[in-house]
Amino acid sequence: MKKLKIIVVAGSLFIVSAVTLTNCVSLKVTAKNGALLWGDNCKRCHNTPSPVDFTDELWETIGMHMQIRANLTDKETKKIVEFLQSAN
Amino acid sequence: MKKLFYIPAIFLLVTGITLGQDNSPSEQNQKTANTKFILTGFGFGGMGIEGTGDEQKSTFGETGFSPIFLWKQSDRIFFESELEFELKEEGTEIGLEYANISYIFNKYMTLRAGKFLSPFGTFQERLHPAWINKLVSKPLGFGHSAVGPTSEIGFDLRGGIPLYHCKLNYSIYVSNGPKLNNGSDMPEETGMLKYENFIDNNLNKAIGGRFGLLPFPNSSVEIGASYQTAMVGDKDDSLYENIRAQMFAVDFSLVKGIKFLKGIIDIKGQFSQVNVDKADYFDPLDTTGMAYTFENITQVYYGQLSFRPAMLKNKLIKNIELVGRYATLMSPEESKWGEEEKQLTIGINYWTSWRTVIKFNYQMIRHGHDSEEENAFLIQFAIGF
Repeated sequence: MKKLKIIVVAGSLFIVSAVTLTNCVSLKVTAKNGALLWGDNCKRCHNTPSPVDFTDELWETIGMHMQIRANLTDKETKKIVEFLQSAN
Repeated sequence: MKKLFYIPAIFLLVTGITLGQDNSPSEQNQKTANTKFILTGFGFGGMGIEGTGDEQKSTFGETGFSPIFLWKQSDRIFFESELEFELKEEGTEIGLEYANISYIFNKYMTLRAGKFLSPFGTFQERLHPAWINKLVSKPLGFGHSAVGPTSEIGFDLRGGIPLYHCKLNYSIYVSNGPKLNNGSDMPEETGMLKYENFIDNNLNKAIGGRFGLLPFPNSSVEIGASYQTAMVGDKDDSLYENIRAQMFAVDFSLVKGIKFLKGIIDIKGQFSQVNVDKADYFDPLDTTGMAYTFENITQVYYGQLSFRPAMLKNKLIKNIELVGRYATLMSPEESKWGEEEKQLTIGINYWTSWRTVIKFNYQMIRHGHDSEEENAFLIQFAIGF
């Protein structure tokens, strides 16, 4: 069990370092479009949803739900909903 | 007989209200446009083979259905509610997981009132639904008999704030808080906190919150810290009314597509600690009437790693996900419920769509140092809708 713990901790540190380095070149949040924000944010908890699975009206309700539940910013939510509505 | 009276009465009432409204097409369209309602939720079914040594049991079960009602009444007002139907040995158990109304004050501030999933940590609020949780089971201490609150009844102020390359999110709440089991009910759980405090057992209110920081602009990393404090004893119970519980948690999440691995790595973890003031408790079965006490500190943590080669072209392999999770629960050694439990779960998931998954898990749980290991093979089919 101890070996497993060491492997998990070492592996996690390696991944965190790699991710930290690769993240430094990303755009700032406010400069991102809806598609990028959709890709970045949804997968933090679940797989990214397919735009065609809900109508424009339903995306509006789901967007508001996610803004409150996942503490998305107002701008992020608007851009993501607009993207989903345009892509379905 | 009574039903025969109620049915026509309800029919007349509904008809009356409907006829009493102005049904001009323009106003009807306006109403449809303003009110946006959606019935969503998730369901799951599965089976398990579990036990220790020769004492094995195998059963289909673990079936649940959780409809979620979302209603956007306007750009500022939102209602959400989740019901929970689950098969138990005694029959179907129905629960109100949450029901709350939100009012969006401005871009950075939303007020919620009602019963809501606790923002203490992230597992309960964001990751517990069967189609999101990557394993069949929940981590030790994060299920219904949880270490730390799973839901709150009260008010919650929350929001997300962009900060150039970073993002901050916060949640500050006031709620009934947990109550202390002083041993009068279920003496084997004396000193344990009960979080389902629907009618507050005292005049004190719990105050808590969580702050999350997403340091990178692609939101791939989130680090959170949570805290809650509350008096937990019953009002007018001179022995326990000043007993305070303080709890804190730290959580971590990293979700990132790694090009050279052609997949998405997802790492999640949470550590929670619950401290309850030391108190004297009495065992009703102890005829001497002597009090006993213990350091009432409970700790729990889990770490989970998953990988899905979602960037591969092969349709079969890109939908496979490998998951592993390790969890530990340490409850007070000198209490009647104290023990150390360890849980290791590994699994393979197959995603048939972004919200439908079949999970195959193997799980090992060890209670204490000397007990035999409990093994389980679990299968679950979960769907979000």
